[in-house]
Amino acid sequence: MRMDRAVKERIFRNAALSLVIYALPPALMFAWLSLHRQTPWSHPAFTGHPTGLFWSFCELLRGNGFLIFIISLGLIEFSLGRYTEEWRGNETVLDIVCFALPRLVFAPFFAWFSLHVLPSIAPREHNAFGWVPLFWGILMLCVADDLTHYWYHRLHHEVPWLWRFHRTHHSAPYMGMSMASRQNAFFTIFFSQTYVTSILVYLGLGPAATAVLTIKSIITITAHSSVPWDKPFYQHKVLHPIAWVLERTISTPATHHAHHAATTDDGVGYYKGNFGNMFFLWDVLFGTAHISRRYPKTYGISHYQGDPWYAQVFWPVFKSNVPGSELASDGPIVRTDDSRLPSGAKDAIPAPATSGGD
Amino acid sequence: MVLADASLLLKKIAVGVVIAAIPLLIVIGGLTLTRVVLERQAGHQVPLQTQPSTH
Repeated sequence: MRMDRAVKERIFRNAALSLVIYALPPALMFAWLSLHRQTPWSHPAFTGHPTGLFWSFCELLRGNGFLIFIISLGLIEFSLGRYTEEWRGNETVLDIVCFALPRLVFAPFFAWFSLHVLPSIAPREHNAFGWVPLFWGILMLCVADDLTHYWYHRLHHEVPWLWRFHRTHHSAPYMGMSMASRQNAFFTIFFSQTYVTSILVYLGLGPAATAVLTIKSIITITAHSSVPWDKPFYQHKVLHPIAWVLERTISTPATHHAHHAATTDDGVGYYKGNFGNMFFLWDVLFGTAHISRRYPKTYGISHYQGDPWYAQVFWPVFKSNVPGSELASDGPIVRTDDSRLPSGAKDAIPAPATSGGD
Repeated sequence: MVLADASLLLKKIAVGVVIAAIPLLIVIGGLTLTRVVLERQAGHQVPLQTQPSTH
């Protein structure tokens, strides 16, 4: 299955713009230091770890605090009845395995990468950029981590052969905090932004990464959550200006739920865009944004028939036994689902392939 | 089938490496360049600042 030419052209155009965006924080920092005649590497004070209430909060969340936060959020979702009768059997096992796997297997793997692989590859480069002032480090990581995440995510939707590695994240017919970690193992273990951030932390941007990853985790989890924290901003007119800025800056439940919708034709759902994780700004900049301030009625993939949890986690090592599934041995790369196509376009467009599932 | 799956995984890893390499090269290159250029600028000023007094 080949990519749509228009999609390919837009990817290249947006990628070119991304190169400029990646270069902006270092360029601005250079201009700032040059203007103020600062050479921070000659002041050891710059390498110190920041202190204060915000940093204590970050440290708390990066430890067990975050686990407590997401479990509490899950309990709130349960008590509000957000998980429907669809969350049972295979789906429950899948969500629990996907929740446990990153914490029990992937986190130690990434720690090993940071603590053993990087020092053995570049032993003298450790903390080479420890002099970067905190503000600039945060700005650099906001862009380097989250824009890379945006591209990793977007390409798994727009490049047909990559879609099956991301399908698990979209298969659930419900939303909730567990959706954030519901991923194929190979999708998670090869997360590009994790390696980018790990390497930059090794090079000295550790404190900045603590701040960025803490905020990113909160935004990502709450955007997947079935608790619509952004709703009051749309309901009260006085809050509309804040909503306008908020929904264009960060991922909110409304915009990210739209990305997980089962349909894209009702003016609410939009699985062809809204790829941003921490920042929604990337979608606005690249023209992949859809803002409706409403929440979809149905979620997931319309042709989903409950592929076994092990196939969804470990595909392509384990295959699905559901005939016609994209994860089955003889399944299609992207399953044609005419119900998603606009009327009159069914013969012209082969599948939702190039805009990738949901 | 096993070969096809292995090749698919390798292709996916290659895409991931490219996606990660681009921002890393830009950020690391930018920071290295910042230090080199600013040190050179500061280096030009050093003789003026440390010039021994003739008085």
